[in-house]
Amino acid sequence: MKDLHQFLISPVAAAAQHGPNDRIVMSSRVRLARNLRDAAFPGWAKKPERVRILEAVLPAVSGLPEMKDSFAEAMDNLTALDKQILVERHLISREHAAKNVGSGIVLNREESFCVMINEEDHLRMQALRPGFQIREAWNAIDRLDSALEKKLNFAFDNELGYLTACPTNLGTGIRVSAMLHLPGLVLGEQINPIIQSVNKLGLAVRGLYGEGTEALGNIFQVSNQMTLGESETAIVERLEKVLSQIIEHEENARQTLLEKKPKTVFNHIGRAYGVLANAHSISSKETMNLLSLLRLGIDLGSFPGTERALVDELFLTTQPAHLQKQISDKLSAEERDLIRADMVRERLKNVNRPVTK
Amino acid sequence: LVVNNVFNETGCFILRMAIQRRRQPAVRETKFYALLLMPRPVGDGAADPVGGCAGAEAGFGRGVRAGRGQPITVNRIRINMSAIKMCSVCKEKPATLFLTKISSDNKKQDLNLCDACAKAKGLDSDPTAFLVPDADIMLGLGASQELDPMAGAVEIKCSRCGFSQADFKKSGRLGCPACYETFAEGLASLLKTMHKGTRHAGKAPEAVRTSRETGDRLKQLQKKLNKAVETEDFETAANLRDEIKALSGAGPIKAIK
Repeated sequence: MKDLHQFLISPVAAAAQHGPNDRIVMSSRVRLARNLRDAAFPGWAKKPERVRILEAVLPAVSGLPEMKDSFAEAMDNLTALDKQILVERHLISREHAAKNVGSGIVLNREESFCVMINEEDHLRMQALRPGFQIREAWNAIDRLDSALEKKLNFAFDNELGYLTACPTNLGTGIRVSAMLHLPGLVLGEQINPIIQSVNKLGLAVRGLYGEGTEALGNIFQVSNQMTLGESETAIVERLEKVLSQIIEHEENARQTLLEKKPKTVFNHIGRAYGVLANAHSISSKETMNLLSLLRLGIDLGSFPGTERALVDELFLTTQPAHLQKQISDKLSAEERDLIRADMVRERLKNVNRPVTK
Repeated sequence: LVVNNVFNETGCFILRMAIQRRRQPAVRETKFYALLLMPRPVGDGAADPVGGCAGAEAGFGRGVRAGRGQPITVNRIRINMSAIKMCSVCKEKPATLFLTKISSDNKKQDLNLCDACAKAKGLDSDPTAFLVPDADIMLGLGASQELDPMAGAVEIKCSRCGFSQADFKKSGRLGCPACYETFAEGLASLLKTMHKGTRHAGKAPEAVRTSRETGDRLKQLQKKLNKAVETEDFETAANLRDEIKALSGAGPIKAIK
């Protein structure tokens, strides 16, 4: 069995990946839900049936050329910590992290494809790309799906499309989403009207870890909700349009803040730097929120010579499971807060105080 | 179901929750509910049973909670308790449990219950029961008890996997692909409210795509063939027959005798 920790791209390398518009769009993702024609959905199938499905699907997926040298494992072979790390990397859902016998994961070397087996559906395949690349992600997952349908018999109905465990995913089974960093809209108190109007367009806005989570670090996920009655490309195009508008609003909000309330903005950024660079104990939540302001500071030119990648790396490494993985002893939350603060101080050692133009 | 418990400054116990749309498909239009639970009045029938809470505004701030459905923002919920409210079920005893349901279009629904009635409805230990779709029936005061046996009488089960309608109500998910046929009738209206359309408009597996195209082409050829036979253009008819034969893998062709 491959060691997950050795398999995963290092946080430094992961943070260094660039994509179009990654100043605001941190990553893009398209996932497709698929099910086998002749089996009960994972939530209803008994354990032996789930195991049988996994044993059929896992080799089919990992045998695809796109998934060469992949990390393909049954969930019960992963430790709780490994699963949590995968969640923090946004590679699997929290729901999937709770799975054990009869569920699995196939992750390719580049971490551009990740397939969850027996999550809510038999297959949840995702294509991931840095920055604003939802169209590229759709093209990639479309190809993977076409390759896979030659090996597996997917449940499909002429009228209803791909059949999914939950009727909310019926039809295309597609969820197109982008992770957005929107500190300008939050500080400018424009985020709620934006969320409302995005909702009116039939799109969902969620927190950092998807369903039912908080928008920590001013990071939001925008995705489609309706999957039936509209083609994949129509959905992708609509998302593209809306996301471009949100990006524009965020840029405008930042500009307006700088013009109208520069003191407020630099106060936030300066304090965030002050705490992060000097704290000796800090929770992951506080870290996220302050790192977001630091990231904003970098975008606005307050930290010349500092790359955004440094913040994105810390976004990852300061998460509880990533922190735990670096230390061999089991840590309590309080101990983690100490180590987290030490780590952040160390990484920010060479970052100078923010300059105010 | 996302539940977030908080105490506000006035000591009122406020329960916030967002309904995940998928788990409660029947109440899809209701995006957010708030439940306000007041402490019981101290003493007997004080003029202001909840003290500092009278007319208080419970600020929910700008919190953004994101459920499976749309994220929800509740700016404030006004608690107006200027007088003792009587139980809305028995209308005899003063209410001690106050439930407010706020739907997405800002319509409020109040249910005030006394100890005894709350217990009878099972809401004393689990106020979230107020959120189940049947709650509206319950607001019809007692009507639910009359309806219950009817609901239990007809239970459809999927012949393939044994999944029942009750299971769907519980989980919001189906048992197997065949369930879509089993429960087609009930799902139709649900899908209408849930999606842009009710007919798939996207990708299909290649095998389906080609067989669909072949089917369309065969229909076309058959039409031409019938016409050719009608007009006694036997040469064309023979060609068409061969083409159909090749396409369908030698299926029966009726039009030619």
